Amino acid sequence: MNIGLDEIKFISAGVFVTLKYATLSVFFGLIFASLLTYFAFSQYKILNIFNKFYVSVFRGTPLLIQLSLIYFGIPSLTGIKISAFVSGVLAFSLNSGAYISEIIRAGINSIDSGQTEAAKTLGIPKSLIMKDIILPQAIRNLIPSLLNELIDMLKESALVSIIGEADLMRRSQLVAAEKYTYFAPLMVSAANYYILVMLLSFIIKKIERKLVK
Amino acid sequence: MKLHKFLLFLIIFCIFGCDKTEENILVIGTSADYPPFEFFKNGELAGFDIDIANEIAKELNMKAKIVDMDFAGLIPSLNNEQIDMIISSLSITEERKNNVDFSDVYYQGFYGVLTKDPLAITQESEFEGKKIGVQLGSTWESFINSKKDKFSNIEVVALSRLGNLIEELKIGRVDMVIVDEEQAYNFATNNKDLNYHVFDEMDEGLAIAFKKNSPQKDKVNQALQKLKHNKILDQLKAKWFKAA
Repeated sequence: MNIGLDEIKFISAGVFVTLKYATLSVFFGLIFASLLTYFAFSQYKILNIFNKFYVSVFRGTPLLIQLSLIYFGIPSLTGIKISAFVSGVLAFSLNSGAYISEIIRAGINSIDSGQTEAAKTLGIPKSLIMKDIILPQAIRNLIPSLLNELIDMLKESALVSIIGEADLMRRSQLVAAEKYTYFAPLMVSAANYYILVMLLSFIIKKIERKLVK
Repeated sequence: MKLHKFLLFLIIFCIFGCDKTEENILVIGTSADYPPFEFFKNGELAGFDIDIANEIAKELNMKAKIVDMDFAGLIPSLNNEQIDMIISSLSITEERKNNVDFSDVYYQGFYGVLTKDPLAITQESEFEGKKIGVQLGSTWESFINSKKDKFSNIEVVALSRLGNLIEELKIGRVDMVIVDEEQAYNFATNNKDLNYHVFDEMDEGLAIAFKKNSPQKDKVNQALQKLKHNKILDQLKAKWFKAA
């Protein structure tokens, strides 16, 4: 193997790029998702339909295509140049927004409807039922799924390598090209992903345990 | 409302995230996975094409900003004006001419054939009955396709990454890979189980690509002429190429 410590360091520095994309995307995804969930439970039909349409589009097309459409499509349609970073975060957070909103919806639906009915008979207003009764329980249930979404994003963010961000994946390809060897750099980036995901899973387990108590 | 603050933040984030193009900066796209033409050396962009790009920018009194991206993203980025030109061992093909304008040719290389030991191919007639690997969209793909009629039984396998192609060769899914002489030499010296042979025939040459009707094309051609004339191009060839 002709890759040395310098190459391993170079590839591993991609961890920060990957983490940056994954965390920002899940963060903004959460914001989009909250909005979408609000739409899903809204009394206005049009907002329900919008939510369904949005989720079906973003879950029904490959993320790679969404990313390419945003990075290459927006500039040619509108003339606005968006950087690789912005289009990457935008595509990932729009996409993860669709998934997270489904997670939140499932979380809310998992709360027994008897509670809502009981609250209604007590005369508690609808908005307060959601805020004070349903959401606090739902959020507790969905934190593990949210962190799983972060893990998914971490791995899916390898797609930014196609628009030129030097993340773990792209860095391993660059080293593979420079050193005319293929497996070793890929193994290094795989190991990096694996360690990162294992760390996150460990944190998830800790949080889950706390929530169960 | 919290939501309003978030939206405002999002908008500001987008505005500041947008690239601002400055007059005096030449943004050049490259896919740095093709040494010795363009690659990362100790984390820095380096190579024959990178040096040429910097020399051209110097001739034009501009600052070169070289950005690395995937090869497949280069031409779309050029047409979106995210980059001003491409220098990435890009060969001149008819399909590409429909989408971009090309500068004059700045490099022409002989072709090399890589095979897995003990097989060695030194004559074109030996291509018969072989599975031939070429990089997708490379000059060698059109090169071998133009020769296809001479043979009764050859199969062309085109993959987008050269590294994958070399792995295919080592595993035995393809019998030979056609690459530039420099690449052939480097792959064979870095992989002990590969043989290579350089043939006495050249490709159509590499050129710099511009958006259609770009005013920069003529200026860059003049700069290239100057680099040829004052031997800088030859010096760079001597600096980066070992096979010749």
